Amino acid sequence: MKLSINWLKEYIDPKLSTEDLVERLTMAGLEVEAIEAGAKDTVLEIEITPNRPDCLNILGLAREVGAITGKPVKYPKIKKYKMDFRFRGNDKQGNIVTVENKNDCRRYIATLIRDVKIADAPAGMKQHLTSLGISAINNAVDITNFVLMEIGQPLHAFDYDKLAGGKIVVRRAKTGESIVTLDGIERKLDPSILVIADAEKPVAIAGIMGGKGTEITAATKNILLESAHFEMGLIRKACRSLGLRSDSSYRFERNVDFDGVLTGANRATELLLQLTVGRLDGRAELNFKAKTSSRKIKLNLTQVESVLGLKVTPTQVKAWLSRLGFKVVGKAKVLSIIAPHNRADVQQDVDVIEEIARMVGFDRLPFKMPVIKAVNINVNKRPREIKDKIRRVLTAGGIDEIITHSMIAAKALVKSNMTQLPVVKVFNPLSQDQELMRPSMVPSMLQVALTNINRGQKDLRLFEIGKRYFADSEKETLGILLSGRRSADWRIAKKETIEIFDLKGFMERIFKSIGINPVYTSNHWPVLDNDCAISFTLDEKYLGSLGKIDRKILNNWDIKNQDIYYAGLHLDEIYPLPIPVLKYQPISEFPAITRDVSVAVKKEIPYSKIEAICKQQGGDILKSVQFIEQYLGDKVQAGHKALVFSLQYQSNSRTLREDEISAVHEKIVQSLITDLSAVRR
Amino acid sequence: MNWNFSELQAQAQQESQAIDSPQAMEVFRLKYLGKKGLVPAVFASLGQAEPAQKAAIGKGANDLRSLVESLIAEKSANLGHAKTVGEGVDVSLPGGDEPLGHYHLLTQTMQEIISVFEQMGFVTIETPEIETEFHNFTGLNIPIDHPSRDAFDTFYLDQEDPSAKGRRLLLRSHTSPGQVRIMKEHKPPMAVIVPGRVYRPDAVDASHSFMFHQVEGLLVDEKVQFSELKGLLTEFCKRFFGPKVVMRFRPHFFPFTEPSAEVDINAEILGIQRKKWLEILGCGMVNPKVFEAVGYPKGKYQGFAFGMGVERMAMLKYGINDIRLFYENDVRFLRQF
Repeated sequence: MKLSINWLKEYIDPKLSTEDLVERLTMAGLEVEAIEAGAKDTVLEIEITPNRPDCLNILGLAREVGAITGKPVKYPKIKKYKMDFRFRGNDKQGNIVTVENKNDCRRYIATLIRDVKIADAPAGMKQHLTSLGISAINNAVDITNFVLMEIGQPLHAFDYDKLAGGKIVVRRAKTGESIVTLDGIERKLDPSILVIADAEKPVAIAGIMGGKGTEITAATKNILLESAHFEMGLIRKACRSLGLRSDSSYRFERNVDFDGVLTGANRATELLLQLTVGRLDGRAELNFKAKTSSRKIKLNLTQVESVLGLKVTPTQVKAWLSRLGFKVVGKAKVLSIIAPHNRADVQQDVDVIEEIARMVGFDRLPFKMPVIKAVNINVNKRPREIKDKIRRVLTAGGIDEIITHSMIAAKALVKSNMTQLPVVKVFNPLSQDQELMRPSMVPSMLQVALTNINRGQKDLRLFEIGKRYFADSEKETLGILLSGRRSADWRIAKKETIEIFDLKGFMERIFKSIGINPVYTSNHWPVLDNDCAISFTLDEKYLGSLGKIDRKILNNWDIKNQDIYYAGLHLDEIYPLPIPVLKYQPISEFPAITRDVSVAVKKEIPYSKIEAICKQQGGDILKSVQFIEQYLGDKVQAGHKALVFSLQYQSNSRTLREDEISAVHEKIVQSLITDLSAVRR
Repeated sequence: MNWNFSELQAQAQQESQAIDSPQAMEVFRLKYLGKKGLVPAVFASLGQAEPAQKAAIGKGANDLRSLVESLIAEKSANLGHAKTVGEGVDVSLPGGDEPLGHYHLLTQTMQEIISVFEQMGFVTIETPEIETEFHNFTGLNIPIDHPSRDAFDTFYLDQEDPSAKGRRLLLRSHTSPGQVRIMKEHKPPMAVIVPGRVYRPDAVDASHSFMFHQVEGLLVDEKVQFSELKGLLTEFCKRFFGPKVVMRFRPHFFPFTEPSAEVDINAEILGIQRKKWLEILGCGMVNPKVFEAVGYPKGKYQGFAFGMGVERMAMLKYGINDIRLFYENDVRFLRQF
């Protein structure tokens, strides 16, 4: 809402500098967002919160300024005009106005003014309007805008001679009807939209904009002035469906004052008679005011103290509230309050308490630390603990955390070969990037990789802890993406690129830190290269996968010259697992002896099998098996691989003898030979 | 051979004064203590010495050695090169460069906000992002078709709300539905923090994103005052922005709080000159209508609630001028924090 200081001064002189006025308004909840200082006038742009439609006009703001400063407000004296019994409503003989459904329109006042002379409005009025950004058109239209801005009542002036049958019907639009509005655009209407029609067709969209066909022109002789009260929700819906808003609809949506309908009609009638030198022919009024319950609010002053922490006296409360137009009855601790009819936002005692706080000034209210009692809400700490550990492990490993959008484009799933996943669609996306809730972290992470690669950042170590979304759940998930060089350290001459065991190493560290020990198997996930994919399961429950992203998918994403490794871990599956109990393992005081084993086995034999045999045959004295090296070159028999690992022997109770170690070691090697056809190297 | 030990000592003393580099130190050391130095020469001369003089020469050699050693120690300390890196190492070369990962700035900011409130006794609870109209609007005294909803434009999902036939599920447009959920499930006293992602169909630009993060706070007990809300948030701002922060509480409107306020801090503390005040959060006393919606007995409880945007806090604190930087995840951005 714009406030012209010149216009304001016609009703009140705040006797404040602009700067002080701005400060006082802002601190009373009327935040001044911008100040346009011109040569003759200063205009303030004020944010009016949706609970204060009474401030969407100059007089409403004058009243607030009066309340804030204590200075008197000079309200304009408005003449009263009576309803003329030659004009009636709702199908009585001689009617000019019909309202089909009183729930849509609770009050309609039509004033007929004849023999008008359409000309320019006086300079003062035009200046006021232009200061608020409203262009001057002609005296009749300018008067409706002037009253709208002065009092807050939207009005519309029809060229009466253009209304078919000389009638006004307030009704819902019929399917197929349309109207060309004042802005020259043809708009299709439907029964959800309330219109003002004449005997034949819609002539205005109620509360939003008039029709071109009945607008006031230089040739207009007779004016029908509309002042009405339309149902706020209806106007709001129509604005949305038409994509059309106006100064009038803005106020109707926020609810106009029922009593203001008459005040507005009277004010405009007076000005029209004066400025267009027309004559008042008559007025029709329909009034379906709903019975409202008493708006008396009981205010206990101890409650004021209990909410604000401030002691107040009945005299103070009376002084503050009466300036705002409230009636205050009583002298004791409990007062009876009646809010002005245009303050629909004041319904309960806390609303009155807020008014008191505003008048005192929020900054003048006391402040102290609250007493916070221990909270008896048992939050499962495990998810947060696990996420904290993962963040620590991964950042220590040089991986940067990213945060990406939860929504993705449908085509991002296609590019990632993930169309088989169930998706939750967004009903009203603004763009295709918001079409659906992501069922996987992969597309989001590939997008980040692409962005960075395109900007020349090719060594990528990224992770995100985010959610995947399904029809019935949100699942927390960890995604890790690695690509590029393993290390940029200058001491390492040969820069090696990341490979699958880098990623597996991170996953192992995570599992160790959260105390679980999953089983690794090869995996067929359409996102990963079949030859380079590992999945992890625990008690046959799938926890996630890692591997090299399929080349075809990378091509779809236009990631050409580097491989991408990705790991996904379903955190939601891990949260409910039993929390591991860590117990101290005694450190042996006796020496450990290490012996290396070098064998060749068939390629398809997994190392885990070798490790299992070692552990099984090694008994108590085998402390650990440490993998050292894998050789796949041509120095081993075709179809075979060479493996080197070391076995560490140690006892917690004594120094092991050379011969007992040799016996066990030999037993292990023999088992590898007999069980796996291993060949010693 | 006759040795004039007092002269030798005086000479060593004098020479040590002139030492001004590790190299000079080494020359000095070699002259006296080196294999072909003076001290070994004195000891070597013992063989030809008169028996009566041997004791004196031995003592003289030992004293000279002690003196030189102590001079070296003293001088080295003064030179500040007590332990020099061996020659041949260019100490200016960079150290090893194993990368260190970074927490996303939003995670860091969120954790910082949460930790301030947790230190004051709040408990952190996360609630779902996919919400119902009841939790996001109605329970918070926001009528479905009302302009007070304008501030909370919402993404709906193509998914029916199982608890309300014919109504769609939605993406929460603020963290406040967490208030409704937590109050429905728990009885006061409570002091909780609800952090998380929120969604609004805003066109993306430097200061708008269709997804961002909020931290919500809620304190409910039998007697809670607006003055305590002021106290708590003042303390929060001091801890988050520094002790010199200046704040102001401005009346505002939120359907779920009454009275409601917005909090501004002085732009100066963040080195911002173009504005005097920066809005940082919204807050207020829980509207009794919200207590009614969650089924609390009328008039029994009072409380306050507050909410802040994590992106906004981070942007103000770290001078970030484009919200899109957070979600683009350019590693050159991530690695700055």
